[in-house]
Amino acid sequence: MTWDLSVQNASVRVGSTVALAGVDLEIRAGEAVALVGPSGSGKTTLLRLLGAVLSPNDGEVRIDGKDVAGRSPAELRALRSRIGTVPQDLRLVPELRVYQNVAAGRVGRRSLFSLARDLLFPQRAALAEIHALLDRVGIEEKLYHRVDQLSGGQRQRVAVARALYQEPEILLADEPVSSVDPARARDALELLCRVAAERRLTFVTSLHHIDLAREFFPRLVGVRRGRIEFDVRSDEVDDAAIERLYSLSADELLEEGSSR
Amino acid sequence: MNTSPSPETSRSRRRSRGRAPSERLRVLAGIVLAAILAAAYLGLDPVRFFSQVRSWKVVQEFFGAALAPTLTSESGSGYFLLPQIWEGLHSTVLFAVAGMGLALVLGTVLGFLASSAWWEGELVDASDAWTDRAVRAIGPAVTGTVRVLIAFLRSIHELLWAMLFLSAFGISNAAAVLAIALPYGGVLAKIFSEMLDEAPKDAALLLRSAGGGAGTVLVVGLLPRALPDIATYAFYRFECALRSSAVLGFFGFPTLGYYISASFENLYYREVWSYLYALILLVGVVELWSGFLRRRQEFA
Repeated sequence: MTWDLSVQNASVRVGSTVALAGVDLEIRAGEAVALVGPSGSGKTTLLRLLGAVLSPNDGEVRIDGKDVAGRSPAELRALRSRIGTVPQDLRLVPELRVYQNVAAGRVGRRSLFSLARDLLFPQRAALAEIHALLDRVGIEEKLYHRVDQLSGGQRQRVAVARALYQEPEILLADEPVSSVDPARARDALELLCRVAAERRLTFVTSLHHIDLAREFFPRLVGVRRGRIEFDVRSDEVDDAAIERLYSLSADELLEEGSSR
Repeated sequence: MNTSPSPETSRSRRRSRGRAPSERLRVLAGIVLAAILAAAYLGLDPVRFFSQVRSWKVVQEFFGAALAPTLTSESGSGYFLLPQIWEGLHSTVLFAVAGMGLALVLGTVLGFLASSAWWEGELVDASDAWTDRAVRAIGPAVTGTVRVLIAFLRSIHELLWAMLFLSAFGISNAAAVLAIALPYGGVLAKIFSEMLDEAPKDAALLLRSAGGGAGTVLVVGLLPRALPDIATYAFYRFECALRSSAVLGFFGFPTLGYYISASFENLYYREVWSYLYALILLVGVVELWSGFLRRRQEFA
């Protein structure tokens, strides 16, 4: 069974800026959730909390019912090895081939020696598994291509395959539609939702495109200025709430103006 | 649309964000002025430069011989030169390969230690485990010490190292190999460490968030990003090692330089050119080989 996520009264401060201010969020195992809101609202910070890469200054994050804080580095690594992430900038190794980038996904459960062997002299079984994953994401013919020869959409598929090769319990994606051509936005979301549903993964993505979020996700969590603005079923979200989410207060307008 | 800049673009931006035009002009003027002052101090006079040549005949003979290299000895005995050329090439390559091989080992180990990638920044655990604390604590000291060692190795030219080892070992192969390996190892270490430090860390950080250990992630996520540049540079240094190895012959090692100096002393310029052309050919072959590998992009 996949993992549930729980954030309780979590705050994150970066220097003097408050990125998250007392956030509460419960996500059931196997649920698909979109975090929506303007850029800079704290969506990515929240994703980093859920991925156990960032710990909150206050409050707690529970993954699969267990508190993330106070874990040993080895326990933390074991936890992270089951959380697949598709970051906005994809973070592939462009000099390596597609199968090598996918194989690197299992970095959390491999020694340096066995991972190096997987990259340089891949075993038939591992290659077959990676090939099957690439088939699922629709680029099976790119197995031996170097990543820097692929298009943006294809690269994103490599990043998805890498996350899936981790055999994750949780899948996190940061603004997946902004990594691809606008015409491919729908494809990207369809792919992520499909693979998450197939494996019943707990799936959380940030998405500033509200219409796509409503179309693809049953549950929307609105984040604004480091707080949860709303947390509703997507067929219940009303236009007024969305308008509030994206409206700028007077001092925010001032900040926007001065930062240009 | 991708709103966040890719690591490549932010890197090139850092490079291109240079000085203001006026400042650039001042720097350029400073360089030119320094060159002129140095030349004046050394008494170099462009007008009288060619009138200082003692013997135009020698110049003419030497460059004339370039058009007529020979494969038979100019000594009049008429013996064939190819075996000597072959012997010279053969030793030149052997010393260069052995020296460069040792230099690569030195350069890789010292280069890694001299880089701050293994102890600085987000890649390293911020945890309280004693191993992580130890890495963070000794990292700066190790890197600092190794950088001093590297500077020492490469500030002494290979010919000076050769003189030192000659007095220690006499004419032995180890002397020539070490004379190449030490300064080359130092230069490779410096360049490798800079390339490692400059390589984009984004993929390595992602692999950390997938549960990878710091050491594994350095090798899998960071090293491949620097490897093509490192390999290209190592090939260039191999070309330099061939030339150094050839010149070491002037000290009596059996490389091309040995034969060149012997022919030169006898004023057999056509023989000299035969050896020089052999060296040029050798460097050309290495160039073709590295170009071929680069095109195949087989470094990764």
